[in-house]
Amino acid sequence: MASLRPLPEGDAYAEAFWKGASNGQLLIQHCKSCGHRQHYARPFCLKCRSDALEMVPASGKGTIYSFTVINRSPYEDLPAPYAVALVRLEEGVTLLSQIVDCDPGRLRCDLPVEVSFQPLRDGVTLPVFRPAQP
Amino acid sequence: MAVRTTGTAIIGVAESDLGAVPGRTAADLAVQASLRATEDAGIALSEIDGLSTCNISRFSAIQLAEQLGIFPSYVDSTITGGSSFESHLAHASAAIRAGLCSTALIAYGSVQRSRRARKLEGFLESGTSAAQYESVYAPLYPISFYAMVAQRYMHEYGAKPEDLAEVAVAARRWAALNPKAFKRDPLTVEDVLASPMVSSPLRAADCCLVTDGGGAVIVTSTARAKDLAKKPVEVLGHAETTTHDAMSQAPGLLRQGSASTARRAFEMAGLAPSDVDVTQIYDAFTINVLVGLENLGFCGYGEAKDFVKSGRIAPGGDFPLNTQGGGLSYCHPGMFGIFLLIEAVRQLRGEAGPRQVSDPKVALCHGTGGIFSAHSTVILGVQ
Repeated sequence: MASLRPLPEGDAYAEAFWKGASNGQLLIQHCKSCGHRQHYARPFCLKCRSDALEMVPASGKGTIYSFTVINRSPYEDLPAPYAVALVRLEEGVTLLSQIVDCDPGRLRCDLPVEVSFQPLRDGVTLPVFRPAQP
Repeated sequence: MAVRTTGTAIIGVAESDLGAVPGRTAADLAVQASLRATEDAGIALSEIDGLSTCNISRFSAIQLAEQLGIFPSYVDSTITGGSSFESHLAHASAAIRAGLCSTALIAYGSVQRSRRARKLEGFLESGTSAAQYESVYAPLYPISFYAMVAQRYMHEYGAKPEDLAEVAVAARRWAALNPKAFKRDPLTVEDVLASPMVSSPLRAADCCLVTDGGGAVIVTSTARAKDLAKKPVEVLGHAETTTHDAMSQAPGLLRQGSASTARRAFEMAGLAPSDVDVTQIYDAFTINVLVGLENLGFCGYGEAKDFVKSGRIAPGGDFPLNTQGGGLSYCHPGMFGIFLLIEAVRQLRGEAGPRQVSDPKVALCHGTGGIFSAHSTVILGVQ
């Protein structure tokens, strides 16, 4: 353990996503031709191949498709245990993220979760998820 | 269905020294395995005019050709992770049919154990979707993806950690019959469940070994193979695909690309899963065997947890699987795919000694690469 968590690399598409996150928005890509939504952003719609795409805020609500609790951290700025999960948003896209504010014993597949924003460093803010409040 | 053949056959297989092999390079071990495979085939190195390898250096095939002193007319450095060598065999078989070469060598070597090259977080590659969107969340690579497959598997099908452990125990029982296996001491389900949790629900004993090692496979036309001393092992069918690179982009966790590669490979061979006598599924983690058995068509979705019970895949069981001890107990230098082929050939030739399966005619090898990203299925057979 000798390093910090790697910051996300940016190209024009990824920068839009991370800039959104630092403004408190979880952005996904929406196709203006067919209505398809996708993550991550690409130059064309994976469903209809149109290039008429825009970044739109997602609801931030979804469920845990699957998760894993990691007991050995590779990074000095991330104490173990921590939970990594695949989250399926209401909009139908899947993201890799972390689940926070949740006892590891309470985690289960299909648990409803909602987005939260966690400042990391160097101006980077991470969209993470926590159990949905009723 | 009538069995079809591609008109190509494996004529030589060999491992390099395995386990901890200090003081050598990856290329050294690939060369050692290659020379042993030509001896096994009973051919001269000068007969090799096709070369496939990857991951021994940046220009792997170029380096290995230089080290062997050969000038191949067909070269393949396809790298799809652990499934690369099943794909190399498929491509070489097609190249021989197309007349691009006559006899191809597929080789691999790795010194990851001696070099201490493995890291918890894996290799973070710049310019990938993972580097842009996922690495910051710190999944361990690749185990955390396999862990999420296992978690979903347990959730959907009611499987227990004991069901995963059954796979590790069966592998160890096979390894006990293989003098070349790295871990041969007895292992119980309780031992697996007592091993440290790494990325839940996967424990240390659910994970493959970290060893050095290399392997080589030689393929030629069945016409040429008939002149040689050993029984030719014919390539009957093959298929490959890739479904995702980043973790979030997997089309599904439990329905995988292997369903497509198996269907196409069986169709090419004119065979069905019930025709297979010995099976080799890349067991990077215990979960790989369960989802592999289902997607390859050996049982229904959700049924593998019961399929593997009562020692069915262990020595003496009616479904011999990973008969050399697998990546879990025999060796795992980082890319296990070539060892699936080597063991299948030995079983089909009847050369497997104490672990020999009774008179097998058809073997299936399924390699996976990355995080269940790439899939490559090969079906082999003897007359």
